[in-house]
Amino acid sequence: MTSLFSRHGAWTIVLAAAACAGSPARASAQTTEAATAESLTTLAKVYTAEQAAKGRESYMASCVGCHKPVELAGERFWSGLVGKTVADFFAYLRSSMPQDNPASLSDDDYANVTAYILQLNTMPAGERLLPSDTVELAKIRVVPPDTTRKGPGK
Amino acid sequence: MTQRSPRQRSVFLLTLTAVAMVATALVTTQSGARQGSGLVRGNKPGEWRFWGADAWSTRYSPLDQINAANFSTLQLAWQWDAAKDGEDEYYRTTPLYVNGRLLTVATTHRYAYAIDPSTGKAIWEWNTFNEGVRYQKAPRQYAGRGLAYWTDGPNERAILATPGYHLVSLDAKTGKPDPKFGKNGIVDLQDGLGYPLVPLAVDDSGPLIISEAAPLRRAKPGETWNPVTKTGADGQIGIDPKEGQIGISSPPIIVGNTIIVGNSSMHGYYPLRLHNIPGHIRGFDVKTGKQLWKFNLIPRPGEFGAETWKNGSKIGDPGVGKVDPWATYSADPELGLVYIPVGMPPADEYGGHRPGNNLFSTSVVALDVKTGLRRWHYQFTHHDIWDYDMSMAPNILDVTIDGRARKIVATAGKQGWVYVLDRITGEPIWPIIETPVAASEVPGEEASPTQPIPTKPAPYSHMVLTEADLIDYTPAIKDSALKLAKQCRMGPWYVPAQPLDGKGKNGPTEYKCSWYAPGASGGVNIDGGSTVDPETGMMYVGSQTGLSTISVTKDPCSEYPYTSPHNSCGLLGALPTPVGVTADPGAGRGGFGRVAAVSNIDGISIVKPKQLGGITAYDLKTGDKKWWQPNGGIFRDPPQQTSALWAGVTIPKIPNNTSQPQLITTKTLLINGTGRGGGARGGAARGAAPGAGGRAGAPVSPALYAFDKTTGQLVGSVNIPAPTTAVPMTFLHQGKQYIVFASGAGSTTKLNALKLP
Repeated sequence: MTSLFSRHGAWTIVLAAAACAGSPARASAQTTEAATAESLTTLAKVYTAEQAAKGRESYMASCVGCHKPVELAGERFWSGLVGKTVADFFAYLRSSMPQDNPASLSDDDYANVTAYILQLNTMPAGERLLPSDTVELAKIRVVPPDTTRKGPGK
Repeated sequence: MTQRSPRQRSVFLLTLTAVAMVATALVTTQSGARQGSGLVRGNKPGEWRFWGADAWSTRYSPLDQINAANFSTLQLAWQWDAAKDGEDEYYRTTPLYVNGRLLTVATTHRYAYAIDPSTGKAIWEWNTFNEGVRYQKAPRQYAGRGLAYWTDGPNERAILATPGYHLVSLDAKTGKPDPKFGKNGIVDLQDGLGYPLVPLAVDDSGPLIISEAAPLRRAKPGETWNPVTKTGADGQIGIDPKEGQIGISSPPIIVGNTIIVGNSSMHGYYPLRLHNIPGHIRGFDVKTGKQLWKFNLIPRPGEFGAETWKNGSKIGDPGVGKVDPWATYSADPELGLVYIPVGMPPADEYGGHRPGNNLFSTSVVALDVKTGLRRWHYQFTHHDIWDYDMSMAPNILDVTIDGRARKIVATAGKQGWVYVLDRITGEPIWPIIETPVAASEVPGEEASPTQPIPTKPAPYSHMVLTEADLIDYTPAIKDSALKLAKQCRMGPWYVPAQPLDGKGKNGPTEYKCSWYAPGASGGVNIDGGSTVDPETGMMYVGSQTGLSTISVTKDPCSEYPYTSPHNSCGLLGALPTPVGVTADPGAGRGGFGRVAAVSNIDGISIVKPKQLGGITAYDLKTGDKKWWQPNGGIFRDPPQQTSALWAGVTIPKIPNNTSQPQLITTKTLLINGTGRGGGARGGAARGAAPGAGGRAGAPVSPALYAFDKTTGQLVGSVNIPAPTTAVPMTFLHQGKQYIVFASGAGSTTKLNALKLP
């Protein structure tokens, strides 16, 4: 679960708070149930390497001061996301990060950073662009990485 | 150095003459600022001998070859590949220019280089130093901010403080270590702090994990290195890691023959142990490397200020640690004083274990360069529980205020204020009032009942959140904003973190989070900061503004009762996992993390847009704000709205505020690098100001901007290959003025040089 590695918070709680606020807030809570309709997973090459490279640039610009790559990869990290959808993580990033200025990057930047973090966790890259639309992202379930595969990782 | 043609030589001589005239002119107006040898504030006019240009950290250059008329015609002269010997995080470095050489650092190992400014080719490289496990577990593993320079005329030195905490003296002409300095040019900075040095070992092959997990440990007797697992003892020695960790990220400052050097620690978000190695400032002889003095930034029992640690201030007492002087420094060579910005003790947002004001945390301390004795100090945040480390070298100026010549030091910090003090006495120039502030509701925490609030100058960043701050374009929007605002505890400033579990010291709390602004990055932080003009008494502050929240909770595997929300269980170096708590915090249970609050409606911040963050110009002769611009002069178009809530509302453009503006001044210009996140990266910035290298609504190229110092008008911009990642610098080399800045991250780090066609 990212909260345990990111400086300020549990994204599940963020989403709960957003929902509770009952406000027109932008962080729409795409729940994991949305993913059941399709069986797309993070192993299905859901982002491009170029996107992850751009995401790394954004990460270096806006995230690395507080969050080192070693903390965003590995079982401690991804196990908290398993069972969620990529939309959940994306919505957390967009509503809470960077910590000093949430929602200040473009949606494309948030999608690229998400792609970079998927890459850090050895999820495979492919031809498909990771979208920044939470409805589409909610169709992608997070599953454990294939540990038999040597990815770009860290 | 390349050969100069006779013609170049004559231009060079003419230029030198011009520079000398500029210097003379400066000396007549700034009599107090001049030293011997043609130096002004420790710098030769036209050079850049200190991280902040000169000892006063003005970031001011008297050059004017590049000016409003030609700024937009600047061309890329060369790029230097800073990653040829290894990667970095983002490239944080501002090079020096002295005697025809650029001196810089690069890579996470912080190697040192001299570069020919006319070609961008290396003159020398110092790139093989191996600090073994001390580098591997360095708390600040990156290129750092630069070097310090010293000369006595015939001899020149580039002084470097490494990630593994060694002090290195290199011949600035050759890059060879000075054999008379320390041991073959190197002093072990872990020595001389009062701790014995022991053999070191590691149990994993990775870096330190924020805050202090997976640390080094003391080697077992006879332990050796296992090259397969990359663990064990590699022969490095250092302070026993059970005492904590120590490193450094900013260059020392040199005054006379004394190198003044501090240290930095790891971040304090999720500390594990209640103590750590406390910060120190030390003086070293530049010729021998001998330690001359040491000043304890946490006063030991019996020393001045020890009583501000009510639970004790000796090594090992709870909360005694950090208070690290990790930012850059400034000095007044004439007064023989160095001005040290100081960080905070752990944890960032909880200090119940360290009741009291905790001197000299979150202060500026003025020390005598020769003796290391404290002349004065000023604490800007008492009992810091906001991560408000003083994060930037103070700026020094001589100005006339109310008819009286004043020697001042102006410090812009994370807090959002400029604190202006008499630099001889430490007395405020304009009253700074101890003002009652909110109490903490967290069990065990006693927040300071008052904080020092300046009456002048006015702030440059938005502070926390009050009803008056909220957008109110329509009654419905105002209602929505207020509803969101009431998610967390509000206040005008210094609102302490709330307990995430809602269990307050006096019963259940109304809020589980507090609004937090400026946040841990400021206001002003190390990537940005301010520049001053010694000729006009103006100060230009580059800052961020934003809104976030803080809460604290118990990390079950940390010694602290509360920290920023985290679970360290299972990490190397953490406490054993308590019964009933799973060792794998990734398993998806709730209960940890802050109750983060949503601070925007459909992507529009609930905070009214104001002229805050970005670039704020102050006249320090009066303390008044003179002008304001967003970072790069850029306003972004707000997200398009389709919902009925926004019908009929014209939403103002959003000032570019996502990064620390990186500012320097020249004779006529304020030059603005946008910083790593603040420019037109990846189409993030949309809608440029006139002349800013793009049309409104279209993504603009990364650019360097120039403003008229007096009016704040954008007078030029030039597209650059990548956004600046550190404060730029400028100098005159062979008759040509250059602007050089760092860019990139990972394997794309570069120095970029601009000059006129």
